[in-house]
Amino acid sequence: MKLLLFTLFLLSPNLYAVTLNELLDKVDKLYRSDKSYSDVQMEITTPNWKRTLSMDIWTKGLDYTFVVIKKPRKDKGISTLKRKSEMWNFFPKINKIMKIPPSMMMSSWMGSDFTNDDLVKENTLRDDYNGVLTPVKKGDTLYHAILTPKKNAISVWGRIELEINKKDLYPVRQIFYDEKGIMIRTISFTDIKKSGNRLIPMTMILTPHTKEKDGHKTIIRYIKLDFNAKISDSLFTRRNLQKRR
Amino acid sequence: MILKMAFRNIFRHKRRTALTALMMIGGYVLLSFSLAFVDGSYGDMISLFTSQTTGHAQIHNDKFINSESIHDSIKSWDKIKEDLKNNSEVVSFSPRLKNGALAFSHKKTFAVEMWGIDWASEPKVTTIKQRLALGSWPSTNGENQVLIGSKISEVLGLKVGDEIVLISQGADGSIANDIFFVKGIFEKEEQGVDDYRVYTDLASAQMFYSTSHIHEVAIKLASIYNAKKFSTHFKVEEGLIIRPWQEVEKDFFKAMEIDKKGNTISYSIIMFVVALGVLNTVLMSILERTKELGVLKAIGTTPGSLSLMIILESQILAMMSLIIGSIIATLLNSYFSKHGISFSEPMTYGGMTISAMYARITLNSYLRPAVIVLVSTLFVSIFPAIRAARISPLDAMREV
Repeated sequence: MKLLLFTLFLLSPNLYAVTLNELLDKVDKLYRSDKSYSDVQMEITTPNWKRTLSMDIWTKGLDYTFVVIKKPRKDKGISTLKRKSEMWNFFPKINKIMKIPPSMMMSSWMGSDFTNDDLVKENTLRDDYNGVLTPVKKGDTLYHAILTPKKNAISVWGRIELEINKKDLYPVRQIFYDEKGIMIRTISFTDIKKSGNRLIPMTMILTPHTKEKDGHKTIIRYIKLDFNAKISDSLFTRRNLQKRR
Repeated sequence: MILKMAFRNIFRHKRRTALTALMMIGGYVLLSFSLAFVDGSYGDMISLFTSQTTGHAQIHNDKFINSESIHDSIKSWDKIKEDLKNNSEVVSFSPRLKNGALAFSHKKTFAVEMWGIDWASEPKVTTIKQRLALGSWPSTNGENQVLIGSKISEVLGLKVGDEIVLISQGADGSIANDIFFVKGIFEKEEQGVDDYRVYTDLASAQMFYSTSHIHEVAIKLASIYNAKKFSTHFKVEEGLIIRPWQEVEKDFFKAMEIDKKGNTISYSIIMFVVALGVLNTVLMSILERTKELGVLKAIGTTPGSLSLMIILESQILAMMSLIIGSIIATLLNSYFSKHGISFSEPMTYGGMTISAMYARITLNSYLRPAVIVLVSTLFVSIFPAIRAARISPLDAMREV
């Protein structure tokens, strides 16, 4: 009896952790696969202007990302390359590659409300955050998870709240807080569609809550998603970045 | 009767009168001359200063003054343009787009101020064209031609004909980036205004920043002295603000005002010396005439009329001195307003080079000293007047 109880005691938190890690891993790799290609529209709204960017995104695992802007014409060819924790922007008009320094990671990517860090995603929820899953009551359709960064992890967020749909295990909402506990932004996921063999929220809406970003909003729409794209590794190189398109 | 006596008294002692008058004339001319010079040199400084970039008055979006944000812009430029054209007081005006940018060249970076200006109208408002040292003044629009400050050319190692890459944030949130061509470089000056500026034409700047608006209109008036009046009368629409140079360049204006205040101290000293001299002569003339005054009192002149006489005497004298003094002052001022006093070494102040000081004839430089002389004379003559009124006829006549 004693042994059984002990085993249960040992096992239960582990079982618990596995499920949470599974969830986090799912969120981390939501739009990723071994190799993926997507056609994306980004709509940025601020009190002063509104514009829509259209771009191609290629990814390889979590480490490599390559983005090329297709529209509007003025910005055509502007591209971003991410390799592990490094990131570069390329401006074809002035034929210049600019490395994004670590200090700029939290600044806006191409004028949107997404930061460079969102693109680089150096942190993964699974590896860098400790999570507490609130017990699920009967009738709840959502899992609630509160994530705090691990001690040795370098994180820009003090806390992340995650809402995950119980049925399909896709995220519904992600709320980000800073170290002081102030709500900074919310990302909501909607428009779930089947893409390949998985269900994917095709629209992602980022709403900042800070005062200086009042009236800002960025919407990302996935027009096309291919999780089994055939991509050559040479796509994710600086030489390829500088190619004029 | 009293007036007549006062006149007679003045002309009886010619030498004493001349001495007092000389004192007053000297004081008046000195004051008027220094005021004319102060007005002149300040006038020069103001016109020099405002002709650099400020102009006489400026129009902005009222939020732009504090924010300097690209979004706090003037949207109704076409309407303002018409209004300015139809205003008879406006000599010329120039629209400007202003924002910051990062300049690249030869792998170096430098933060610059980017100005989109109108190649044709800007030189009509400011002296920008004269400040160009190398290259030539561009005339075509929309071709990304730039004029750069000497500091930028120094740091980035740029010469006329070189390319300069500029990066900034566009008004639509895009990343503004383009290549520009250096057409000219401004002259190197101590604290030069152009040091950190890149000028391009309005069309290129608007394309670069993805906007159709402007941020500033600089206005040149027929006379700079009307700037305040013009700014209160010229109507701009809601959300915009028009300000005279005194407000636009508040720091400069305040520094000048403080300087002017300092000058009033030195005038006061001059005036004090003059007043003492007048007091001295008036007092002497009374002491000299103790006997006469005693007689006057004895034959029934009231103390009131007696003091009135003394005061009138000095006021008449002051008046006459002013007439002579203003003639001399006019001659002196008009000479120096043409020829000026040149410095052996030109002086720079706030980026301006001043090589000579000129006098300037204003009503102020005549009226103010005149009032000062009259009032101070009145003041110093009161004391002797009271003294004269209190003279006892017996004691007075007994004196020799």
